[in-house]
Amino acid sequence: MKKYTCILCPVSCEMEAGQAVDHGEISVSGNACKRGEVYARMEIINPQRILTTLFPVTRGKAVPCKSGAPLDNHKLFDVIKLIKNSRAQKPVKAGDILLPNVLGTGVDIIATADRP
Amino acid sequence: MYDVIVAGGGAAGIAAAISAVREGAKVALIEQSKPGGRLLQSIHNGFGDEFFGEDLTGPEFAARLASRLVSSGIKIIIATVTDVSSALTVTVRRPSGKLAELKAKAIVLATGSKEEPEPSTAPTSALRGVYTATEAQRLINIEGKIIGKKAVVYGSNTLAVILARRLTLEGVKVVCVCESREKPVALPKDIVQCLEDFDIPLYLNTTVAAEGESALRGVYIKKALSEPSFIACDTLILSPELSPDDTLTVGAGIVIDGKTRGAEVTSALETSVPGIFAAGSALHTQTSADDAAFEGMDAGRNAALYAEGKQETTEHVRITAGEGIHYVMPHTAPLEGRTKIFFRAADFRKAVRLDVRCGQDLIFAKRYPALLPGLLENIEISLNGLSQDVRLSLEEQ
Ligand SMILES: Cc1cc2nc3c(=O)[nH]c(=O)nc-3n(C[C@H](O)[C@H](O)[C@H](O)COP(=O)(O)OP(=O)(O)OC[C@H]3O[C@@H](n4cnc5c(N)ncnc54)[C@H](O)[C@@H]3O)c2cc1C
Ligand code: SF4
Repeated sequence: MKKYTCILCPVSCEMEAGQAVDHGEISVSGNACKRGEVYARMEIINPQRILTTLFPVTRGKAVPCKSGAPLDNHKLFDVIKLIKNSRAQKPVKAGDILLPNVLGTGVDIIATADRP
Repeated sequence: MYDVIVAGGGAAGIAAAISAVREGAKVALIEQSKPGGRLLQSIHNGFGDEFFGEDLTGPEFAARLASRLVSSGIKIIIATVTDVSSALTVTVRRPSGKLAELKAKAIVLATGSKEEPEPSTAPTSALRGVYTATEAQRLINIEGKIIGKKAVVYGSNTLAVILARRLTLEGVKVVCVCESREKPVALPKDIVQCLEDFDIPLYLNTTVAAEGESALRGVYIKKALSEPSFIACDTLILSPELSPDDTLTVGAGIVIDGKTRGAEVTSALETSVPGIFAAGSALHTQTSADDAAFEGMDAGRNAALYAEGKQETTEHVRITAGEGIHYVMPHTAPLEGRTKIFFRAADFRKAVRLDVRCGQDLIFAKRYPALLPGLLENIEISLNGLSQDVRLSLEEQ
């Protein structure tokens, strides 16, 4: 059993979760709602986070962006590197896809503000 | 003459203006820079779950709110409010430097919060490379600046830990986050996703002193009961507690709560000066943008009702913070209907019972497996027919 803190809402439930050695059952306790259980399972199988950062823009201020869905934690810095080596062309609108299917993850990098 | 003037155009102010105009009021929103406030520089996600039912980044939350200002009939004035009076006048300084006086039937104060360095522990310093957290966040996220190579963060509130993560993602080495208290200020979920995820050490009971001539050379960090040790770095981020910007509140002669440093308010969010309302982090800091927007909606609606002369004046009871409670909001409420009372625990507590007493009588109780000082909790109770002050306190289980 390992301790996990749910990051999905401010309550920050302290959970215990673990996987039995012989079979795949994952047991979770301490979560106040169902979302915590799903989160703890993912923390064991493959931790993921939403990435937010700045996306460089040609002849303009960088634009804030986010990953459209959580990305595998171990890919975060590779994705950041790719973003920092890319350039968006103005005009950029919030919601524009800046990098589709980044590094084959199936997740898009999306602008979260306008750069007219 | 406006029905309602809203001072400050962050989440709380925009929401207040929108809800006042919905009540049919003639509304002016006065903002010194750009509508959106702190949200514009908070490019991370984690906003909007409660207000919009969707996880949004700060700029997205701001844009959604601001889109409701378009063709709403709200007059947006770009100017700084320099003074608010109990006669319901608002003095503004236009970008040209010209002063003007505006008149309203009701006012909402939504000017947000400011950083207050602790003079005793904070390394007050004009060294190059030393930034406040708000300033650093603006430089990085709005101006797109890279502010150093190696950094130490002093303070552990939400802004501090979020900034530690931002710096790391921008390629800056964050050596450590230091906190003078024994517990971090930020919520556990933010410690996990901002510090633990990136193996950034958090040193508690630790103070920091800057070292350098004109530019920062490094910092001395001192843990309790041990000798100071030197860390070479080119960037020091100071993230003291935020507290409500009380310039206008004090100027208007409004009664202030010693704990929150914001105005004392009724359940209608009206301050001690009739016709002046307050909402968001101008009232109590650490409020999420969602809470700020909800409060803004309430304050704006009530200000519009006041302007129309529709606000009822009924008898109020005082609500106070007792043992284990950092503060309560509102400070007074009418003796009828149901009242929502917000409170924050003074410390981290496990297995406690919240007691609400009127004199000696227990009128409400609720058990909590845990209470965090960073969490704004609320209960809804009836204060019908009470004759004495109401007091909230925490009892060990
Ligand atoms: C998970 C989480 C993360 C958070 N992250 C951050 C973060 O990273 N950074 C951060 O800063 N906050 C953060 N917050 C706090 C949150 O964003 C704010 O509490 C909220 O946005 C405050 O809104 P507001 O309208 O009360 O104040 P503000 O957004 O501060 O708005 C006040 C507005 O008033 C204007 N103003 C001030 N004085 C005057 C004057 N005299 N005349 C005219 N205009 C004036 C200002 O320009 C500003 O636009 C976070 C909160 C949570 C829960
Ligand atoms: S388990 Fe549910 S209640 Fe607990 S922190 Fe996660 S989302 Fe919030």
